Amino acid sequence: MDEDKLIASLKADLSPVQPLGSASRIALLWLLVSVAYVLTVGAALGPFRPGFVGELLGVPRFSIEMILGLAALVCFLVVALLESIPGRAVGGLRRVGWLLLLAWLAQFVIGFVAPVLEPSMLGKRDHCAWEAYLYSLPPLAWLIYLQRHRYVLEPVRAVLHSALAAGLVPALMMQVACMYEPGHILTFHVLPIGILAAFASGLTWMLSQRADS
Amino acid sequence: MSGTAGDKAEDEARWSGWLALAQAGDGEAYGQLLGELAGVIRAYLISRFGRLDNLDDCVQESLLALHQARHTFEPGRPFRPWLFAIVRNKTIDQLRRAPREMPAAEAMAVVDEPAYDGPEPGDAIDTGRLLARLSHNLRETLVLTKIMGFSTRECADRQGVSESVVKVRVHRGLRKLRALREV
Repeated sequence: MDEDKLIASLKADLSPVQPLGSASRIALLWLLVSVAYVLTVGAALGPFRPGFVGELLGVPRFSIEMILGLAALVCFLVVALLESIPGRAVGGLRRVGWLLLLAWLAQFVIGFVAPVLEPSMLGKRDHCAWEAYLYSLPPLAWLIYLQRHRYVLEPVRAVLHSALAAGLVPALMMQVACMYEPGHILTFHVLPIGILAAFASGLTWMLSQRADS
Repeated sequence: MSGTAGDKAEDEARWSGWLALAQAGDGEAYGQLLGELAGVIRAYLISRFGRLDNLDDCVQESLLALHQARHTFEPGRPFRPWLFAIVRNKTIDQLRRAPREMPAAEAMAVVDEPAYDGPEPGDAIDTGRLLARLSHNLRETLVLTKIMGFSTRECADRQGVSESVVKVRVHRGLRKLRALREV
């Protein structure tokens, strides 16, 4: 098609569009709704670990651990939203997110030697890993929906960061809802984040390869 | 449309204003914007990628992408990063697809460029097939470096890998091409 004809047809196709909302406002809304959803469903399906409020307020290392996880979540969430706007530089924030995630994971590795809380079976939920997968899916679907309504240039990376953000919500909830023992946390609360992220980004890669061919 | 920083700032302000009007549905402003950007995109692609065979396709793909992404521009933010992020991405997509879409004889003609330091191809159809038999990464690296003339650094940036990885891929790609020819 001739370039002038293309421009004329694009002009004819023009319709008013809604400008994007503020990414930080959307991120805050997503975070509040996702946390509320995960806490509500989590509480409906089983009791939270007795004494978790006292642990959060009275054990500084436990508070720091939760803050690290929450900060990583917020970074990945903002990165996921900004990555769907062409030309927005998110490299620095992405690196901070990964560093925070590693620092959060390091707490559990250190916990094998010097646990933050006394490891115990108190509060154990029978299907915590399945719950972690299940709870993360609606927030993930919502985040991908938000991205799709923008303009994603790097779909695999965008979905990877979305899955990390969505996976961290139930993982953090399990920190107060399920038993505290580093091995259990890594296997049943943290691993689902990795599997979800790998699966979601792998699927996106396959779909984009298929769309390319 | 280029030149001094003042000219660039003026262009930015004009394009941002037109796009803001286009977001509200102003077709005249949109037509002016696309008409001007077509030239800017063409100049950018030539400066960045050289004179591509499918330059017109790349410009048109970019214009289409801008149309689809027009709601993501935030008035008040710089225009150029938004514009060139889309153009770069669409062009890389086009270049990636090119070897697959190119007829074998054309692919052969491209592989036969002097920049290619692999074996002298004797049979156009054969070499086209050989290139297609390389893995995606190897083929893309060879196309970018040996055919499109990207530097190792530029190729590494585009593929999101280190320069060493690009060098290894070029070496492996050429070796594999030679091996495939000998079979």
